[in-house]
Amino acid sequence: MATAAYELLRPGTTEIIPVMENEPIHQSLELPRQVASERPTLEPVQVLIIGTLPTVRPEHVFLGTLKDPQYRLRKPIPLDVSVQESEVVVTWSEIDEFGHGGTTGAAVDDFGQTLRELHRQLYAPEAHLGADLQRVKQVLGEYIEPRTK
Amino acid sequence: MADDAPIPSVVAMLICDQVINEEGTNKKSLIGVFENFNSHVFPALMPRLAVYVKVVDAQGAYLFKLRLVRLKDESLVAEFGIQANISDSSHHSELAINMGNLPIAEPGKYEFQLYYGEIFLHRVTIDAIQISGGVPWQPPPMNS
Repeated sequence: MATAAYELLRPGTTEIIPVMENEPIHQSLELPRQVASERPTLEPVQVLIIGTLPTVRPEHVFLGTLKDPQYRLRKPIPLDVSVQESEVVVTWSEIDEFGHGGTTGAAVDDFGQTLRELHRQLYAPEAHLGADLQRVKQVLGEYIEPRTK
Repeated sequence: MADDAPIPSVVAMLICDQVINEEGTNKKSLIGVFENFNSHVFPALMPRLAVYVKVVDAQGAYLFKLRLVRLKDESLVAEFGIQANISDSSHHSELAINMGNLPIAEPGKYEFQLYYGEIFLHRVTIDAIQISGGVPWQPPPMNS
């Protein structure tokens, strides 16, 4: 039986210990003494392994992150998932953009990269946009915001 | 999922043998970070494995899902629900999931996928590699 336990951790804090003038330098390079907290008790969890495993490739997936420290998403981006010529394709129908890859995760990553590049191009100061691209820019602005912290 | 909770961004997600929390300072040590694992035989049981996740922009009540997926056919091997109440979005939040006896059916690529509700947040791929030698796996004897 597989087991698991999880915990939300508290922020860690390190201490700077002043080095005495006559203290050998190698002592200041030693790792501080550490006391491990008790290992959490692992609880049995359900694991599917016998027979045919259920496929979890969804028909739709919500993208929650752009993997770029400059941007965050105000709301998740709904993507349709399909398989075309043995590649997984994710499509955002609202602006007709897509990403593809060998797996859903790879396709989502590819889509995220496409979206980051598109956002940079449309929001570049020198960009001169027609009506269609203005609409795409507006849609992107509804979902993506620059990170302020 | 809470409607008003912001979507967290994952800034780190690592697979290791164990996450240890230091009692006095709450500093974490990730012991044995890895990307691949070898086994003489499959199916294999991973005796211990931990996932460390660090997120930003989280504030409120969250129900995360951690899935282990076999990438060959994107089939679900295991799924864990993680409930977290995060009070302060100005700090990073960290999660540690320690697991034992995870069954790995066959060699190949596997992926840990982190979801917030139905929202895909992050993924980490690991490779299960069969190495030569060893004793073939035998099913445990049935209890009569």
